[in-house]
Amino acid sequence: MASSIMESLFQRSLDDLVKGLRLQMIGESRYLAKVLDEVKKEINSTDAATKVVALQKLTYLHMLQGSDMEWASFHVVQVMTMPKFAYKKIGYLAASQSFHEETDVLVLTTNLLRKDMGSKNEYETGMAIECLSRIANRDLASALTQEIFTMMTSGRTFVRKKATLALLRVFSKYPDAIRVAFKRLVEKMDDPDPQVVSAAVSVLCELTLRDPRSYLPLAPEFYRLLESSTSNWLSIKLVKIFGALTPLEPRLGRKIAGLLCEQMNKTMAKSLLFECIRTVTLGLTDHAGAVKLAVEKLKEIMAQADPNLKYLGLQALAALMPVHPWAVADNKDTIVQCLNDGDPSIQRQSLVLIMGMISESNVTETVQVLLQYVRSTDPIFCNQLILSILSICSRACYEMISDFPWYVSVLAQIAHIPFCEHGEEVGRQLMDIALRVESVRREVVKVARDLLVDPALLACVPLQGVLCAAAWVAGEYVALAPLGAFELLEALLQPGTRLLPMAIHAVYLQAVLKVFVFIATACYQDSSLGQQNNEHGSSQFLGEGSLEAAVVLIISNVTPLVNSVNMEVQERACNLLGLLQALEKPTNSEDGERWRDEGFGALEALNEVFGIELGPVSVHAQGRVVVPEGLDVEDNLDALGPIGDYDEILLEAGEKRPTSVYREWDAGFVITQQSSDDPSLADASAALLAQHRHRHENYYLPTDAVSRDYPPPHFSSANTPTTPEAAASSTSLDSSMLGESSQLWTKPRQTKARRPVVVKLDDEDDMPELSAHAKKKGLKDEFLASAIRDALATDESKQRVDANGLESAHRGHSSRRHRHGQHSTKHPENGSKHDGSGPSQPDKTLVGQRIREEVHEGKKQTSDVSRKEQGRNKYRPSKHEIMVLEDGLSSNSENEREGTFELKENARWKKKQQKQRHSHRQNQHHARSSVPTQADSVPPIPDFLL
Amino acid sequence: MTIRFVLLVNKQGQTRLAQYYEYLTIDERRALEGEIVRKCLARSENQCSFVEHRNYKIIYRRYASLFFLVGVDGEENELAILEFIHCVVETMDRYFGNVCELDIMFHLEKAHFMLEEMVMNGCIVETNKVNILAPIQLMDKSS
Repeated sequence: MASSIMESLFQRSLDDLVKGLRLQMIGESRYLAKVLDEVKKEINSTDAATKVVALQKLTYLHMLQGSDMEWASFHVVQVMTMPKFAYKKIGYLAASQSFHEETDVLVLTTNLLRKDMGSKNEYETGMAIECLSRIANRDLASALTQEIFTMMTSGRTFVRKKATLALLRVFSKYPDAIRVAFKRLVEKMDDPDPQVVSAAVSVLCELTLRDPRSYLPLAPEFYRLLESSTSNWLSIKLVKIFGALTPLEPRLGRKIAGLLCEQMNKTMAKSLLFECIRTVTLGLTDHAGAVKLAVEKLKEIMAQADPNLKYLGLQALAALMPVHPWAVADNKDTIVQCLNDGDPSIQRQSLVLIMGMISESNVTETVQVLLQYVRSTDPIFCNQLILSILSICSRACYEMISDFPWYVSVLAQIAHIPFCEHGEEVGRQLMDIALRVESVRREVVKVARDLLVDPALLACVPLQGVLCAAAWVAGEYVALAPLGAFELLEALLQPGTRLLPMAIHAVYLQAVLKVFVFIATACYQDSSLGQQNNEHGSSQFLGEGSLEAAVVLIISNVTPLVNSVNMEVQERACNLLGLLQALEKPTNSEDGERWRDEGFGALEALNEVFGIELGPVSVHAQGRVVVPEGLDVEDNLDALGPIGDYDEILLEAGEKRPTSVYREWDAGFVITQQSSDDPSLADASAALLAQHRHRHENYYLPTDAVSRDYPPPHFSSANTPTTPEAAASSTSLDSSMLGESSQLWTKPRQTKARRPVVVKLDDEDDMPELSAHAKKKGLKDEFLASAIRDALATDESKQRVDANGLESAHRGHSSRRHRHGQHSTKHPENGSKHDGSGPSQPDKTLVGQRIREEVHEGKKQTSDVSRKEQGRNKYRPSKHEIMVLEDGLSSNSENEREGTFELKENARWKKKQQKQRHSHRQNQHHARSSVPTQADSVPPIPDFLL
Repeated sequence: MTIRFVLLVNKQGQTRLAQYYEYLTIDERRALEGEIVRKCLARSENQCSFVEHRNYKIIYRRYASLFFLVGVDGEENELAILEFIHCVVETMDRYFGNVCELDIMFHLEKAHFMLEEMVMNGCIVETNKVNILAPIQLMDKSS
C-alpha cells in the first residue's frame, strides 16, 4: 500500500510529461526513451491510479509521437475493465486509438463490451458502442450484433443514436448482421428523435453510395424525409442519396426535380445548395428546369470572390460539361479568368473545363490564350498547361487540327519555353507530324532547323528529346530545305553536341550522313551538269567549294567520336569517315574519271536509300507477323538459364572485348576493314557464339535455314544483345521506327476538304485491355452490397408472394400507404423468415424474440437449410423453378472452383443469396410477367415511382 | 461520404491531434501527415480551402495558430465539412474558453472525447455543443 502511494506521489503526470516535452533539456528522443521506460514500469503497478496515468501517457505518446503501444494492449484491456468512469474512458480511448483488426487481445474485449453496453450509465454504453465501431473485426461484430440490435430500440436517444451508427461498421465486417438489423435500421428513419433519424440516414447514405441499386425501394421514405427535413445536415445526406439513386431510375428524377428546385430556391445554406446542384449534375441532367436553375445559381456563386465557392462552382460545371456544354460556354469569361487565379487548385479546375470545351472551331484561339498563360505562370502549372495542349491537340491522330503549319509553330513555341519539361512529347509529335502529314513537312523541317541552330538549347536537358526529333527530321527531309543544307551540317556538328546524351548524339550523326549525302550528290550532279551546259546546276544554292568545306567540317568534328564509348556513336562515326575516305579524290586525273563514276554511283545509291519514304509503324505491327508453322514459343522456356550465365561467358573473354580494339583505331586506319578481320577477335566471338548455341540449342533456328556466313556478334559494353538479330535492331532510332514493310499498313485518311491528309493506321486506337480493367472495380464492396440487395430482395420477393396470394386490390391499396408506421410492408422485412407474419406489423418485442431465436439457431445449423425450408413453405415452386435453383447452386460452385471467392463462408453466403435471387426472379415473374429481364438482380421499383 | 481523418496542426507543422477513422500504420500516418501538412501550410489565405491529395480531399481551415484539417473521400460535401470544423472549434472554445494550442496539448484526450461524440464511423452524428460536452463534464465530475 505504502509503495503504491509513493508511486503515485512521485509519478510524472501527463501534464508533467507535456511540460517536459516542451522544455526537454536532453533532446527529444532521449526524453521520450526515458518517459517510455518509466511508463513500462508504472503500467505494471497494482495501484489503479498509477496504472491509468501510465496508460494515459503512453496513449499520448502514441498519438503524437507515434510510439509503439502494441505491447501494452493487455494493460489497455485491464484499464477498460476498471469500474471508475474516468479510468474506463481512458482505457477505451487507448483501445480505440491503438487496436486494430489483428490485435490479439480483441477476443478479451467481447464480454467486456457486452457488459458495458448493458450498463446503467448511458455514457458507458455509448462509450462501448463507440469503441466497437472503431475496433470491430468479424468475430467481435458477429458476437455483438445482438446487443446492437437490442440497443437500437433503447429508451435513451443517446444509445439509440450510437447503436444505429455502429451498424455501419458491423455490416461491413459481418454482412450476416444485415439479415438481423436491416429492417430495424429502416424503421429508425421514423424515430421520434431527429438525431436518431439523422444517424439512420447517415448509415443508409453510406450504404447507398456503395451500391445504389439495392436501395431504390427505399426512395419513397427518403423523399418523405427530405420533404419534412428541417436540418441541413440531414437534407444534405438525403439529397446525396438521391444523387446516387436518380441516375439508375429516370422516373425518380422526374419526381424529385421539383423538390430539389424548391430546396435550391429556399435554402440559405451554400452547402445544401451545392449538394442539390451536385445531384442535378449527377442524375437530373435531362430536366431542363432543374439544370437551368442550377446553372443560374452557379453563376451567382462564381461571381463571388470566395475562392472556395469558385472552386466548387468550377467543379460543378465540369460535371455538367459532358451533357450541357452550354453551361460552361455561358461562364467562359469567368473560367478563363480563373486560369490566372492565385490558387493552383482553381487553375487546374479551370484548365480541365477549358480543355473539355476545345473543339475544331476554337482550338486555335484557345491554344493561343493558353500559350499566353504558359509564359506568365509558375513552372508547375505551366507544365500542366503544356501537357494539356499537347495531349488535346494530338488526340486521335490530330483530329482537331486542320491548320498544321500553325500547330507546328505552336510546338516550336513550346520547345522554346524555358520551364518546359515535355521535350520528349514535343519531339515525338514533331516527328509524328512530319511522317504523317506530307504537306506540312517543309514547315517541320524549318522548325527543326531553327531548333538545331540554337546552341542554347543543347544544354537544356528537358529539351533534348526535341533536339533528337529535330535532328532526325532535318536529316530525313533535308531535300525539302536545300538552301540551308550546309548550315544544317554545321549545326549538327557544332561543338556543343558533345553535351548531348549518346543516344541522341548517334541520331545527330546519322543526320549528318544524310545531309552530307545530299550535299555531295547535289555537287556531283552540279559538276556533271556543269560540264554539259554551264547554266543551271541543282547546287546553285550551295556555294562554291561547299563540298570540300563539308568534308573538312565532318572530318574535323567526327574523328574524335571514333573513340566514343558508345557503340552506336562510334559505329556511325566510323561509317561516316569510311564513306568520306572512299570518296576521296585520287591524285592522278586518270583514276579521277573512274573515281567520279564510282563515287557518284555510291552516292546515288545512298541517296536513293535515304530517299525512300518512311511511314509510321503500327503498334500492332508485330502481332501481324504470321507465326511460322511448328514454332512453339512457350515450349521449353524453363531450360533457358538465367542471363547471369551468359554474362559469365562474357566476362571470361573480358580482356578481348571488341570495344577495346576499336579504341586503338584512328582516322588514318583503313576503316572499311571489318572487325571480323582481326583473327583473335573473330575467334573469341565465334567461340562465344558456339558456346551459347550449344547451351541453348532450342532457341536457334536451324543453321542451314539462316545464311551460312553468320556475322560475328558485336558486343557492346553497355547493353548486351542476346542474339545477333537483336544487336542489329538495337537502339538505332531510324531502323526501329521505320522499316518499309510498315507502309503496307498505311492508309490515307479521308478527311474534310481543307484539312491536309494525315496518314493514320487503321488499328491505331485499339485499346484491348481496357474493358477487363474496368470490370475489376469495386470487388471489395461487392459482398456487402449483395448481402443488402439480398436482404431487400427477400423482403420484396415475400411481398410479391403476398401480393400473389391476395387480391390484386391489395397492391393498389398498399401503394397509397406511405405514412408512418405502415411502410413496413414495402420495406425489408426481417420477419419474412416467419411464415404468416405477412403484411401486418407484428409486435416489436415478439419480432426481436424470434430473431434472437433465429440467430441462435443460425449458429447451430447452417441457416441455408432453414432458408430453403421457408422457401418451400411459402410457395411451392414448379419443377422448372427447382431446376433453376439447382442451376444457381451449381454455377456457384463452379465459381468457387475457379477461385473467384476468397472465403468458404463467403461462398456459402453467396450460395444462399444466389438461390434467393433466383427465387426472387421467379416471384417477380409470377407477379408481373412484363418486368424486363434486367430486373433479376434489381429490387422492383416501388409503386411510388409509377 | 465519410471523414477519414481529422488533424490539428500548428503553424510549424507539428501534429497536435490526429484522429483516424480507418486503420493506418504509424509510418503511413507520419508520411501522410507530412505530405498533407506541407501541401496545406504552403497555401495562402486567399486560396481555397480544399486540396486534393492521393485519394483524399483535404478540407482545412486556419484558426489563429492552429490548422484544422479534415480528410474525406471524394463524395463528401466540402462546405458541410467546413461548417463541421467550425463546430469543432466552437465546442472546444466553449469547453476550454478560447481554445489555444496549449489547451489541446494538455488536454488531448478531452479533445478526442469531443471528436468521438461528434463523429462516429466517419459520419457526423452530433453538432449540438451541450450534447457533445455532457459525457466529458460527467467525467470531470467523477474524477
